[in-house]
Amino acid sequence: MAGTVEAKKQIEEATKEYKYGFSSDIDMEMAPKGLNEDVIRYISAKKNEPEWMLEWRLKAYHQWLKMEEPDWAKLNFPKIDYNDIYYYAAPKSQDKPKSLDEVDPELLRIYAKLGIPLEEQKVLAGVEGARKVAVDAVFDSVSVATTFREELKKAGVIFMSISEAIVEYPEMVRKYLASVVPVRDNYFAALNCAVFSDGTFVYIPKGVRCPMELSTYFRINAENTGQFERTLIVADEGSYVSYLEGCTAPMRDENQLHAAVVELIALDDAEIKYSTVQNWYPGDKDGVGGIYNFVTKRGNCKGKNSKISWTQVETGSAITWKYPSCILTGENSVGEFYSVAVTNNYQQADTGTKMIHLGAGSRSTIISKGISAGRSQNTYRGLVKILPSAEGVRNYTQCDSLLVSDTSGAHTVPYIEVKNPSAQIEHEATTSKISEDQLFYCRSRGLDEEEAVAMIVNGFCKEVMQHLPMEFAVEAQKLLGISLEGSVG
Amino acid sequence: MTATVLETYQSQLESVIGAIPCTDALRRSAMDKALTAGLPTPKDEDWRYSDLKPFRTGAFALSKAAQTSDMPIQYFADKPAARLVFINGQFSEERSDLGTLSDSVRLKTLTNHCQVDTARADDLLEGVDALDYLNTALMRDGIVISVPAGVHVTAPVELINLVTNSAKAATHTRHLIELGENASLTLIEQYVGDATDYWSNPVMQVRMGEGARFDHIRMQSEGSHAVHTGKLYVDLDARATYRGTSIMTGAALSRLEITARILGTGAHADINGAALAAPGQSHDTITRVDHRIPGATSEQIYRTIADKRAKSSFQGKITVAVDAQETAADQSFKALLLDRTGEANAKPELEIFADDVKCSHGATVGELDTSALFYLTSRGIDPDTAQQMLVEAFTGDALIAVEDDDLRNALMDNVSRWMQERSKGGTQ
Amino acid sequence: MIKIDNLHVNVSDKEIIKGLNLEINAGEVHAIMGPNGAGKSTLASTIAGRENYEVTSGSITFDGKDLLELEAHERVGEGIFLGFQYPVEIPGVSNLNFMRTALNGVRRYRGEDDMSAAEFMKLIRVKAADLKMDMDMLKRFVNVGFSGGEKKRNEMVQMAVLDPKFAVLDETDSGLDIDALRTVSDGINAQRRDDTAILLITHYQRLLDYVKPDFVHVLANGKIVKSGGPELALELEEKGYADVA
Repeated sequence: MAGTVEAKKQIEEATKEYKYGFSSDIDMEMAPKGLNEDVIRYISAKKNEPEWMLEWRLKAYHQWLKMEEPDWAKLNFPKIDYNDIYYYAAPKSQDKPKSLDEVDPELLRIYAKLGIPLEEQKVLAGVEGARKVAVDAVFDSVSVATTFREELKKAGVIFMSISEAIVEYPEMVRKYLASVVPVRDNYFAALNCAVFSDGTFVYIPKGVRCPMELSTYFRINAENTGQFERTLIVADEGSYVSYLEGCTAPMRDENQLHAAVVELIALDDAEIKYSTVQNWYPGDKDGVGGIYNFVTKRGNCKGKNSKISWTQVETGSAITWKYPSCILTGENSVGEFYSVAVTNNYQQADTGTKMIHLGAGSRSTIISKGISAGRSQNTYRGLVKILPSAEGVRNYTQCDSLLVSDTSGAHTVPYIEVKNPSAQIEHEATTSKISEDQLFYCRSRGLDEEEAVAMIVNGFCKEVMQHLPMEFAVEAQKLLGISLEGSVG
Repeated sequence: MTATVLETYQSQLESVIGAIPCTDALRRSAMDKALTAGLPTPKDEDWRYSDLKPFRTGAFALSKAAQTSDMPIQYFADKPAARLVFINGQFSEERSDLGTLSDSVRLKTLTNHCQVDTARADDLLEGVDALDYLNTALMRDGIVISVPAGVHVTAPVELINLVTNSAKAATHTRHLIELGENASLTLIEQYVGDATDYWSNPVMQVRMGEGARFDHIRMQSEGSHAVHTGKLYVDLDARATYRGTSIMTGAALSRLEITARILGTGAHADINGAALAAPGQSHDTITRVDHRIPGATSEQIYRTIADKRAKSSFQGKITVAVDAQETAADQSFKALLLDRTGEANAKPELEIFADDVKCSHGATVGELDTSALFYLTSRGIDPDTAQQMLVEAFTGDALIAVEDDDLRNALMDNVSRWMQERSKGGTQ
Repeated sequence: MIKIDNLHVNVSDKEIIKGLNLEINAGEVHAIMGPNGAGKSTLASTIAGRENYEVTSGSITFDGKDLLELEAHERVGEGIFLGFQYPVEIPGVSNLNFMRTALNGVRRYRGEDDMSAAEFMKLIRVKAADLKMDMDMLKRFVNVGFSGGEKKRNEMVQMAVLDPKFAVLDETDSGLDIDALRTVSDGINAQRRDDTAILLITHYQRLLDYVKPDFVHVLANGKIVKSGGPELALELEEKGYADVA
């Protein structure tokens, strides 16, 4: 954590002058370190939020104060000092790289391998002044985005930042916000409710099949909302949407703590497909630095025949605490969770899902693939719960772990709780070493060891990867290989 | 509440001091630890699915020692090496039959053992949680069976733990089984009792030397109002083979925790069991198989059944330590719900820190296969018999480690009887 | 022997059989043919008394008794047998134990004594040999790991052991190679007597080359739409269901 201390020191240096008050400098809009009612009022005021929203945040804050950080996950990290964090617009550190020449060559090598254009590399690496350049450079994307916005508007799809939505569609936001993840759901969710900076709101009207895959990449004001992001997606009756989150390129972020909340609501016959590639900075090979990612993602299949499908490829972050879940309320609703989690070096991931079956005839599928390399720890944790009302439910779960090193750990902690005898629940899990035979076979056909590992790992993950949208899948495949670099030997 | 309940147990300590002479210091230390640890709460992961009410709503008195009882006992071996009967935790000479067992093995009650061998206290596990500690602090007696190296006890030993006239009273028994190098033993252990609301809190410690073999049947058939919290600790040295089969049918609330530590290469543990929960019963089984050494194997097969308002839970954890390469560990759990008010919970867990391993678990929950039921009835088999056949087949998976045909059939008969009682409505 | 009168059957609230009439006398072999989804298997399951096959109106009488009043196993006691299109696998239950329990269940229903193990073994050896089934298969779990043909032969052994008055054979010919088809046909023909009746449910004419039916019916959309002699089956084979039904 030396890097963190270093970063903190830099931030402290940079912000000395703001110690005594709030700054309204355009470049440096920020609240001081720490969390209290004033900070929350400041955030709310900055966003021109209505009174109810402020009250809601304050209530969440007081709730959070009463809660304790969960400790049941198989994760080890130093105690987080919640009063040593900026909750609104943390200042940029002074010594940003001036150009790509000053950026860690290792990072650049990865960008090159992923085939990322130079100008975008600058944005990703946080090169000073890059945003401006990047905006110019991604001007095409912006215009593309504008075109998209037109098209979405025609279809009646609402796709905007959640801050805008709170002002423009207060009824809808009030109705659904925290309806799936209650404020008091967990420590990090409560914290997010109090301080969320921004995020995305999506509404798909009745019977509309969203004409394109939605991605934060195309939402113009999606900058720097990473830390306490809030996403709310409502799919009205008979609608369909596919939402992509994240980016395959490694993202540097100075905020070490991330606590996002994502809520999905699917009404009758609606379907939401939510795909994530999470590749936040995992820390270096010695375990220094890296993001702590505590995410609450949950969908409510509220309507009959509704469907929510989570697909995730988790390769980044030093700490991952994340359980995208489905509450299957509607009759014959369907929940799916497809996950690949790769940990290398000193990364720790505790991830999985909850499938809560209330609706008769509801079905769920869980496919989880964990790959542990280096000195990392990788845990699948899941719950399949069948309530008495859920007649004729089916669940199929498969959790496979692959160990690529003898110093890593792979753990599987599934909970199965059944209160209706008509349920058919099937759970299978395996843990094994990467096959020497397969490795040798690949190598005898000319692949080097890393290529061979990447190929085998990709094969191991195939059942999950095929659920990713096409444009994501190809990049995610490359990403798996890159994430495991240096793990062999 | 917890504090006052534990203080009551503390006040019971003086009455057992001196009962097993070499253990007094250990008892006091264990009682202190029980007070510090506190009774389990629902936040304790291992108690997630167990009802704690019987422990919180007041303390159990110590059961009264009894020399004999006229309760009938069902024996499973025709020609046992010995029949050892404990009544309310005290050895009953009257009902026991030592046979010729003491010719080949060292066989003594814990009380007697301690008088001649004061080092015996060092062999006693102090405990890992409040219930263990209470057992250590308040144990009345137990058996110590030491099978010397190379000795094969061919006929089974029957060990019966009987509780009687113990309303709201607890019996803490401690048994020790020790097998020397290449020794072997078959033990049929039973827990039975009358219809009072007693608490049976036994601990069994098993130590197996290199190449030893232990065939262990454990039948929990306590009285219908009893609380049973059994612990079984098994340590396996190199090439030792443990084959354990537990059958749980009794008690209102029943818990069995099995901890097997694999401490030598080439060891193998079979930890199997069936739990049949009749209306209103709550059954909980916790297994921990701890692979600490490379090149050992383990297999677990558990089958549970829950009838009306019954709850059947299973938590099974396989741990493979950092250097325990070439471990193969499997676990299969299946739960059957016979009624729509039944409940089944499972938490099969893998914790793996070595890479060259083959570990797996599978778990299913469901009701009886309706197509199989129809197939059977469409051949003229009445529905009750058809259900019984399917339940026997389901449970039979858990009995495969019992190699002796007669013994396995006798155990299966118990399952059949359970189903017959059920169809008669006798298990209400 | 069996009379089906204006039968209507719902499965999951959907009407599958919509007013079916059929009468079969002792000594007769009938074949019901029809396209997929016509309701052939539903008819078979309804006769055998499967749960969730809801008879909304109509009747089935067997030797003058109301069959619908009886549970599945009681119907077997009365002399009805269903050969399954997809015989069910039952792990943990041996084939021998299964058949013996079944036979004794039927005997008890008829007020007869159980058959002794020795007597039963004698009987099953003969029946199994007739159908070229070796003892090893009898000791295995019911249908577990059996090939398609072995499963169907197992059905025929069960039929032979239970010796029903009326057998409904649901697509017994499906998935069989020519040798297995012959063996199974021999089993069916052995069951064909003056005091028994057989209802063959099949999609193809093939089986009827080996087991000559006395009557052929075409089932379409839950009703019998055409009846005739063996020549009707040939006509169907030639022209398909679309033209005939």
